[in-house]
Amino acid sequence: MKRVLPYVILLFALVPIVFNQYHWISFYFERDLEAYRAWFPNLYLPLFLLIKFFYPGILGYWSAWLLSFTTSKRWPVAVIAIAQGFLVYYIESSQDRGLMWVSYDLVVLLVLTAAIIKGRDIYYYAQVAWTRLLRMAPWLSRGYTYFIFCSYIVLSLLLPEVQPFSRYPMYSQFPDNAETFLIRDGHGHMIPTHRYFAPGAADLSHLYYHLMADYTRPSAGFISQSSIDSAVGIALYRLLMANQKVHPDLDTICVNMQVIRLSKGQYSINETTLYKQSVE
Amino acid sequence: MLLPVRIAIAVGLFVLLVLYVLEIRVALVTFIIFILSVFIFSIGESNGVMGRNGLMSLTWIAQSLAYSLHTVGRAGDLRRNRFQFPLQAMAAVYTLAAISKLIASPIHWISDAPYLALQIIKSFDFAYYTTGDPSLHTAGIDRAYLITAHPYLTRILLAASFLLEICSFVLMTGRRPAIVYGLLLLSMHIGISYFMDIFFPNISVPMITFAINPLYIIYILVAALRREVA
Repeated sequence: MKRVLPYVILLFALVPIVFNQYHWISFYFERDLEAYRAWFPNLYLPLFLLIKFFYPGILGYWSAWLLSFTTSKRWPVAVIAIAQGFLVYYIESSQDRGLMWVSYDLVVLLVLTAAIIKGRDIYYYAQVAWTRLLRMAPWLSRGYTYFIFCSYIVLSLLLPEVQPFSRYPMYSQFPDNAETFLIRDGHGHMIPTHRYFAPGAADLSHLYYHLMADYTRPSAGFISQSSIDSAVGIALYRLLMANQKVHPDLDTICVNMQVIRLSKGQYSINETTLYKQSVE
Repeated sequence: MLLPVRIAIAVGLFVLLVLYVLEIRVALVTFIIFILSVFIFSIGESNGVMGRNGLMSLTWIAQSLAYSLHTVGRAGDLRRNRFQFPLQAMAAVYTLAAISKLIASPIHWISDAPYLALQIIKSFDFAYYTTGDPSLHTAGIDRAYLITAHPYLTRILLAASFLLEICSFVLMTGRRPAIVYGLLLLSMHIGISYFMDIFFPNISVPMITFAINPLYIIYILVAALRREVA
């Protein structure tokens, strides 16, 4: 019982926190693109989870959990961890944040102080926990195991495209059309992107497909094609302007898309302007 | 990110790599490098520019696992596993690429070979529109012509590359099969680079390092020459 108690504490005390934080995880996967960027600009899931990991309530919680390895008086620590979990849940779902925030901060401070004092022991017991976890995995005991091969394939097929998981879908199909992206000035002359900007045409293409996937999600609802093109054009323009090498000495920047088609052995090219902006 | 933060990360990574080379606390060092690499690549990809850097991070976590198991007395030979575990990750990456093709366009991936010409034109035009060098546009047209002029040869080459990807588990079966299969995969990457002006260093470099292991081959050749001379 004593050996499994820390794990029981972990599972039981984590419930209210996970329940409270679940809606943030769901928000990420069902996000509206603009709202997501307003909340967490330029962050992807690993960074998002990092912030949640170091969220004060959870940080105090992890400290309490590790402390449970270092003292024989585990029940007081377990009570603190569980109470903190419920406190975080109550505060975040409550409109009244006055006195509760103070008491919440005090709990975090007490636990963090104890964690710092016991820092060396905590590191040692974290090692113990990791070693126990490894020894609990019998499938890793053989020399030539295929655990990494199988688990990475399964996880990559189940999870979305977030680091370090990917299905590597590059050139997995050959459609009868291809899009390229280029910049023109106000007179229609092609301007090499690297003359003024760090991103290349391929980077514009990656962002284009990323945005198209977002805008054409079923949960995104109906969005007209012209609105999508306009929004994508603005995003491509902003990517370029945010990564300037030198200020463009142009009167106008046109972000254009070319669609190249192959039909019955004949090539055709159709070019449209996604976004046009005068340069200040 | 702020310049001091960048400098701090660069210095930290340098220190970690020195510890890695000196084999000091490698399990922890490689795990930290894995975490750092995931977040650094995430920052880059959060602007929508997918770098396909997963294998670079996987290599570190695979080695971290090999060293961690060694410290608890599990999983046999460390010298073998610190190579074989990353090779598992590489085999998984190539297998996933093959699975993606099966999901997206099963048999059509081979039958649609003529449309590969569009992807070639696109790749070279990306370089043309980025650098302004018109020879790149011309090169793309020339290579696209080769593809459309030889559709059956193209289908054979595409089928061969698909087989290479789906059978990449061979990388995990031993040192010599890994070298031979690595050379085949390298030839595939060279072909892709020639026809499409595309090179995936984040996949190719780890594969060359661990599968082909050129330094090991050079060492073997030098040792054989020394024996001959002696």
